[in-house]
Amino acid sequence: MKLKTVLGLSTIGVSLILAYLLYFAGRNLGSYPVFEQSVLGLINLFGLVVLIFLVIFYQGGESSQSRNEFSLKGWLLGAGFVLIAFLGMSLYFDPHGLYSASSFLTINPNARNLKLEFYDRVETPELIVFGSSRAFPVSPREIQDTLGYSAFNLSVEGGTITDYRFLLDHVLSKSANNDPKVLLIEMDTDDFRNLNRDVLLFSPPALMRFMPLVYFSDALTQKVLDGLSIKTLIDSVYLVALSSAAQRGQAYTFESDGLGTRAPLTSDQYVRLVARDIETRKNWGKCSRLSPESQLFFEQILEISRDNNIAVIIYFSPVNKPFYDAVFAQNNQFDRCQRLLETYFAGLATRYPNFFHKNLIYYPPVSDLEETGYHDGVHLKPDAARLLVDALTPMIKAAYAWSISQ
Amino acid sequence: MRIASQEFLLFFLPVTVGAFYLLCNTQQKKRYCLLFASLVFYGLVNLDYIPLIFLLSFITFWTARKNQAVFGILLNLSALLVFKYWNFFAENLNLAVQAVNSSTTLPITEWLLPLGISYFTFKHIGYLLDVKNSLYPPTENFLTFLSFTTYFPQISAGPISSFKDTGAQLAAPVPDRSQFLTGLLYISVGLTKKIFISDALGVFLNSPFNAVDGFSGMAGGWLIVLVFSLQLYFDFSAYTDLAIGVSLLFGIRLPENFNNPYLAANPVEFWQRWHMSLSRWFQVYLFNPISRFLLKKLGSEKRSLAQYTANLLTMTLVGFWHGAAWNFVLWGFYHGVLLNISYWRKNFKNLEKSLIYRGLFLLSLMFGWAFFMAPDSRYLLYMLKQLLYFNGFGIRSTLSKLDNFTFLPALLGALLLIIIGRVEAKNLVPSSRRSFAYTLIWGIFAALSVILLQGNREFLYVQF
Repeated sequence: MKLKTVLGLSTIGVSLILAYLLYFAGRNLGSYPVFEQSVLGLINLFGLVVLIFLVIFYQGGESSQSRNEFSLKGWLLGAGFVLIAFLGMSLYFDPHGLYSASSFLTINPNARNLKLEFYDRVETPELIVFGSSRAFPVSPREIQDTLGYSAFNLSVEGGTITDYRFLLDHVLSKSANNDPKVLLIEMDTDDFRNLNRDVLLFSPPALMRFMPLVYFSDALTQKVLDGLSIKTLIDSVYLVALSSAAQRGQAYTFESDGLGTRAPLTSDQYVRLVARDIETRKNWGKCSRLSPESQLFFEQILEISRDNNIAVIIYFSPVNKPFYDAVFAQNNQFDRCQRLLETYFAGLATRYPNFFHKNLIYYPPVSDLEETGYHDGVHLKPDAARLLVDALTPMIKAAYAWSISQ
Repeated sequence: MRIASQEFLLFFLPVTVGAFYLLCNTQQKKRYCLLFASLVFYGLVNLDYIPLIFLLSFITFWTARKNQAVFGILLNLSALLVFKYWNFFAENLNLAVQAVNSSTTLPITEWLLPLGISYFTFKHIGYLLDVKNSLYPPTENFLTFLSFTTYFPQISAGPISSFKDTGAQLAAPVPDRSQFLTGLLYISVGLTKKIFISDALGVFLNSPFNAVDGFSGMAGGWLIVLVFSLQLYFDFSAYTDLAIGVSLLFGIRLPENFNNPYLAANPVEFWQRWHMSLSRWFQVYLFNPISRFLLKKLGSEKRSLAQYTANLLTMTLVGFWHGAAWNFVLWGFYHGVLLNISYWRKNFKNLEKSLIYRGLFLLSLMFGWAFFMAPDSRYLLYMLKQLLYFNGFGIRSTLSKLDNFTFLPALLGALLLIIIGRVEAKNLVPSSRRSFAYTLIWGIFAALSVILLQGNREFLYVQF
């Protein structure tokens, strides 16, 4: 190829890159979707330019057996370098909060490592709250003030039975001879429809040692694949380079007792979030049977707790009225699921004297509060959480009494 | 699990390669290693259909040995018809029945298409016909034959190979380091083409622009078919590079499937460069026998008629093989017409050298892809109207409706690679270019492509 052609192509290549950069520099790169598309576009563009230049310019020499060996090492070095660099970046920046209570922000909320860190600093509390983000506002301080029991809120975003199973192992491993008395677990009907193994990605390394081999492999595989995804690069750069924009995206802050507090939302935001929640949950799907895997894990929780004289209370957190009316009211599949669960729980109660349950999914004193009690369709504000604890108080006392009587 | 997935490339393949070289240290063990890996791969994709592939392989193996090739072919074709074409025939028959006000209808099934059924059925039929025509004796080893059927690098979308080539290699795999490096480079090229070109073009094709009323005018229509022409080619050739590369890691060489087809000067040459393994199969097992039969029936004075008929019939079946839908049948028939035009004007050979002719030929190829890509008749009719100037040039409306130009670098890159003739892996990574730095860069490309995969990426030809 002639030099003029080479220079011409180089000019075209560089011009394209500059045009792309100028196009995106003029836009608001603080927005995550725009940032993500920009980075992907740039990587694609650079890759193509390098590919074209490589294909056009690079001339070779004679091939030989010894050269093949050397070249093989070149390929392995190139591939290995990129893979190790990405894994290293994933471990160092930890943009998804998979490995530690990171000094950097995380792109998606994952309080698991942070809460474990807080939990490991306190003495074993008498009452521990497990659950999803719906249980964040259950205040340990208020439980202490109302009931006199020390408490800790160990609920995590997207918490499922998988989380609670291994969290329980961790709690028991730390408690020496002073086990907690009551586990208060917020659950959702979906927890029993299928066991969500995707959450294994977010399992803190401290919990992985308690996992059976299959779940350990699954968790490790998911973490490796997460580390080797382009999202890791994008999210790491976004967090470091645009940390103020990322800061705005953090929904909850946590206190040392695990209480999660959400920044206040406007009325418009509330309305939008309720609509979003309804939209995502309205196609509720079928419920012909409960997940055997979920049942197995849940019964393991009950069994281990019983053997350690720990009472287990599960409750279905109240949802707000518009959400309930849109998603659950007159939903045959939901009703069917509820009946299946009632039958299942009744059976569990005969086998596990430490098992207590309360269905508060539609609890008018809380559900009817709407915007004064909810951030959205399902997440409670502090006052509503207080009412929830009041509703559970008699059962908590009964559970506590059972535990200390053993 | 798919061949273009992180699970396959980061876990399944390294484990299989490791087991192949470290644990399976005899030729016999290597043979069983590959068979085991193929069955595990198939099971991870389609566990329910493992008995089916076993059964069809055994039927083919047994009927070949018993000299019952016709019976074996019929059984294989029956399986293909049931799983791939039943709903097509049922739907069309039901429509016809409804037209005469009858209430009797055929049931529509919801069966999944068994992975690779179109490909391994053709491998079976090819094997049976080769044995019937005494090209080689039937194999005595069922496990080798099963390995040939299920061979995991090629099960998803070919290339279709003969038992004489691939079966013999699978019976006695002899890997070597030079082939290993070639395999890695082919994988790198395949992944790079898939991620950086094919999928980048796919973003445009999946945008609202590419929909009825999403665009209008010739400019929009021809842009879409141009992008699709390139996406389909790069996607499928990427898959082939990946399949060949993975296979080379085990010392098994699969046939090439593409040879820069858009540089072809005429339809015959196009089909000698596009999906070569399929066109070779159709030529050997369908076109040639049909031609011979027609010549015999019609006589040599009607040679042209025999040729025209054989072209149309073969290409219509090629189209039908691609999909159980009328648009594929039309696409195949269209290519039969192009071949016939080419045969008819064979007295004007010098025409091929003219740029205008070659340009028109390329346009006719792109026009044909409109049939291939249409998801339904409404889209097809709309597209054809735009391509044929029913709504004017539409340059302004195209520019105003295009809100995402990120596909442009991939489009330009694709065109450049085609024009300079370095688009197939064998041209991109010849042995004369394999210096340390060169292979290092391809290693980086491979790893980056795997990272950009972000889960599973399906290749377009796997759906066939």
